[in-house]
Amino acid sequence: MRVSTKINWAVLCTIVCAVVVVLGNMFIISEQFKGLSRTEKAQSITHLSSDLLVLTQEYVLFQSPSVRDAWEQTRDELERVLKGPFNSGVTPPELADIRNSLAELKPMFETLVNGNLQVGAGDDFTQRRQALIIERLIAETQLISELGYQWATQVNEDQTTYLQGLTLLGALGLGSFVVVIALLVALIRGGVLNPLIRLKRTAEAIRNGNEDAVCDVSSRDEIGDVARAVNQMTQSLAHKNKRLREANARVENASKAKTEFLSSMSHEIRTPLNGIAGLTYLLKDTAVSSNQKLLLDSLEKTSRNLIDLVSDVLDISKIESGSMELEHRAFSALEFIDKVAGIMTGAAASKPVELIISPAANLPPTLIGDELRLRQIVVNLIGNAIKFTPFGHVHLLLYTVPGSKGTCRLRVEVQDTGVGISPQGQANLFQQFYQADASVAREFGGSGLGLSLVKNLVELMQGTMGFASELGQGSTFWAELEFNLPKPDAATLPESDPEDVLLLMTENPLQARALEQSAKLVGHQLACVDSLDEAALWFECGGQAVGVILDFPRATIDRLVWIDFVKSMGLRGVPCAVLLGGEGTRRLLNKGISEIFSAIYVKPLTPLQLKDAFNGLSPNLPIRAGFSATATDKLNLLIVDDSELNLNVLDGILSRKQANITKAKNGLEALSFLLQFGHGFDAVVMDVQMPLMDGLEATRELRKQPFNADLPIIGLTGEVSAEDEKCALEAGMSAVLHKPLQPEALMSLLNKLVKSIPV
Amino acid sequence: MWSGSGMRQFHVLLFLLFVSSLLHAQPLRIGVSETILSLPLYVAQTEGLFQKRGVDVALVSCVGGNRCVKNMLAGETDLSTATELPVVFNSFERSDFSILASFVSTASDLKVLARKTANVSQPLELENKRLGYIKGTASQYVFDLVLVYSGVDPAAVTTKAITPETASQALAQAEVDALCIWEPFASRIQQDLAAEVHLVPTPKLYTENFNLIAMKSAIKTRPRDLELVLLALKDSTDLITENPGKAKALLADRFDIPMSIIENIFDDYRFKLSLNRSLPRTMEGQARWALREGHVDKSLTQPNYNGYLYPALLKKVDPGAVLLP
Repeated sequence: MRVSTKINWAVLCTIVCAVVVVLGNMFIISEQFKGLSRTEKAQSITHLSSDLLVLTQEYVLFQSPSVRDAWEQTRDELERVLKGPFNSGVTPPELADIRNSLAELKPMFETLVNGNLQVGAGDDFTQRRQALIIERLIAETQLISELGYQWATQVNEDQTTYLQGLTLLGALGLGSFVVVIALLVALIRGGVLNPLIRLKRTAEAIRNGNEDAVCDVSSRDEIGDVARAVNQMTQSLAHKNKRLREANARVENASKAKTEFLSSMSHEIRTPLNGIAGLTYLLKDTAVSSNQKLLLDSLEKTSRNLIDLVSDVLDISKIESGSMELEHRAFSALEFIDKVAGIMTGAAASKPVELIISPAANLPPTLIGDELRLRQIVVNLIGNAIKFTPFGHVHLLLYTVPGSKGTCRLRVEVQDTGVGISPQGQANLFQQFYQADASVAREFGGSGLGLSLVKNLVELMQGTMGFASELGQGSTFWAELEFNLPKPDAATLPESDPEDVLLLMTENPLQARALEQSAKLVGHQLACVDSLDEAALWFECGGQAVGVILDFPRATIDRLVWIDFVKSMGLRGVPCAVLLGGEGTRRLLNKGISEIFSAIYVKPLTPLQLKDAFNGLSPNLPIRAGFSATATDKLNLLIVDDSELNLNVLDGILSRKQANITKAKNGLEALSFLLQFGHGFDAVVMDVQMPLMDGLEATRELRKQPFNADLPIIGLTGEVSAEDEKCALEAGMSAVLHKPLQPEALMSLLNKLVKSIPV
Repeated sequence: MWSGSGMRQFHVLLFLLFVSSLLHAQPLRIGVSETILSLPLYVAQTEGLFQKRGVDVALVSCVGGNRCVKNMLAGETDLSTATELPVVFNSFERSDFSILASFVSTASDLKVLARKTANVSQPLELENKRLGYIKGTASQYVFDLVLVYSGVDPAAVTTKAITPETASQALAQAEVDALCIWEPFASRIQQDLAAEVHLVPTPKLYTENFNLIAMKSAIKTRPRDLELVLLALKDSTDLITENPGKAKALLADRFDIPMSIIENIFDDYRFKLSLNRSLPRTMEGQARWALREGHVDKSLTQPNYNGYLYPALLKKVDPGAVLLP
């Protein structure tokens, strides 16, 4: 039976029951009224018949006319009541007998009344007759009274029985109603609720993954239809799941094979690529023409990019194959920041993008974990940010978030003011080889592996990462990674002099806050002003600082004002350092004021740089920490090269000759040493071709200082033409050596230029 | 150890218990007058109502209530059925019996039949006629009432005692001009002598009750059986009221009377257990009549009829049927 039919039946039964109960109650009430009418009639008959008996006896005793009248009236009234209609339509036998007796009574009473006139005058027969009539009269009225009483009793009994019957009928009606309701409840429960419960259990079983679940509802109604549909759906689902599992297994196998293939191939490819890049670099130094050098530069750059790409692929493959193992070693957070800054400085300096590093003041000095992978993550994020930021800034924040006891949850956040990512691009951002769109790849280059690698590394380190981005408004990428902390006694805070106050003049409040935190981290105090006037005022108001850092503004500066300020600081005995961005270098040099500063820093200024700033420096006699020109018999040499490999080679050659070696990665950095009066260097070995500032320009700048006029500067160049050598000598270099470098030639030259070097 | 006298007492006790068990084992004998008024007893027997109630009853047939009472008093039965008059007549001599209940009442059981040749169309015309009656029964009493009420001096008629068996013959052979007799004899005579007799209309002067009468010894020794008999009679009267057709068929079969006659007279009877105040009043009237007319020794004193009624058993069976204290 269909559920709708069941419900219709239920409603119909309820209506029928309700109608039956209402009609039954109406019938019961009606019958009770009828019973009441019968009872009233019985009471009247009993009362009148009793009265008639009493009046008969009274008349026999007193023959009173008033009693006679009353007798006749009572009899007539009784006759009237007996003639009245009866509920059943049939006169009961008792009342028929009363009526018959009443009919007999009237002539008897009349005979008695008439016979009374003869009392006393009659003979024995007459007296006997009169006595008979009296006796019969009384006997009959008594009989009438008894019949009346019997009928009243009968009516009462009938009424009692009837009431019992009506009560039973009412109870039956209500009972039937209850039974029908109970049946309906049973019907609904058995026909609807129970199947629904079974259906629900089946659905839960399916939800819990039981593909064999079957709903055991076989009824031919709507619920049965649903159950059959669910069963069919489950079978279909199970079949599809089976096929999906098979397909997934195939995909996993294929993915594993791909990963293994990539891993193997990447490794195999990277080895010769390294060879190509190394050989190109060496070949570049021997290029005979500028065109060849340009082609070799492109080849080297392309090879490096390919190596980076293959390295990323190899790393991802290692992670996916589970073969990458994380190190668990203590490392310095400040050195980590320094390394990251060193890596990213070049990239940031090549664009009008300011790289700012904001380490939290409470950043633990030592962390235990995989520094290399953390650096890989951060460098990738910063690299991406710089790549997609045409101008503005890239801001690296490092701070801790609450973690479990004994650990540090480090949050690394890279904010940029770049192009941002569209919502569509965000959806697939972490997929391998994916970039926001084709134009991105075209404009910014890259393989699309960086973020994927970062994500894999973060997951490998059991961290979390995320991003927020808005097209045209920039992006923020963050990663949270957990590191262990060394025991408290091992984690010693860096020593700092709480009296050391540095004054920073910058127009960039972000830079100000970042350096303020960096200073706190290394135990310094940093006071910030946004102009030279304010800086001067600060000192006039009693401010005391061990040094002043001047953030070289993007806007045009008044050269004389700057010179006056630095001089006034010199008079106060406060050294000044300048902080340069990518495009600031050239302008600084153009202004010709580079020589007035005790130190030149390239952004970002790291906490460690801040810690060592102005150490041992005086405004009039800058002396490098670590060595003194008069205190040692070793040569103090500055070697400048953008290639780490070359620097190491030079370091190796010259260290063997008992020389103190200082390294610089470009001309600008070299200038930051050499522009300080009394820098103590005996000679400089400098590559000619370098980013940011090449060797020729740096030479020209440092020669402007009288105290550097005789400083031996040996240029290193891959060019072999006489023209190139001429250019180097014109720029102020003392001599030029060609690559590949011959150690003996270098030592011989140094020996020639600086007499104290033993060969 | 039992002593000699002790042993004798024990044997007597065993004997009495044996006799008592024998008495209880015997069926209760009821003398039943062969009249329509005995219908409840016939129905109870036919329908097995006595057995249903668990009482063993033997019905002993007799002609007229007077004979039934005499048989009972003679010890031939334990109970009998009769109108009040046989009780009244015997009450002057004995008091060892009581009425347990009335189970039928009627004012039309006794009828006056007259020969057509006697020219009696109303009671007044009975004067100077030869009238037959059954002595010691309601027939005699009703005839007297009819005559006196109608203004006919009983001394002005010639009476002749007849029996129910000879009534038809007395009329047929003109031994009497009219007679008073109860059903079903009246209807049977009307049927047999339809051309010669007719029914004389009489006023309703006597509502007779047909009663179940028991020896007091029986009331004392077997009250439970008597109670069961009354219960069976109640079942029977209820059955007759509910199913009169079956009762009529039984009557027609029992007395060999055409159903048409039964249909005519059946509604004159009220089959219902009762014990009312009108019963001793009627008996007192009958006693006065019997003393006045010399049917009993005039020197005797009228008995107190309350002592001849035993309502206790009926009160147990049907309390509403008893209107006596």
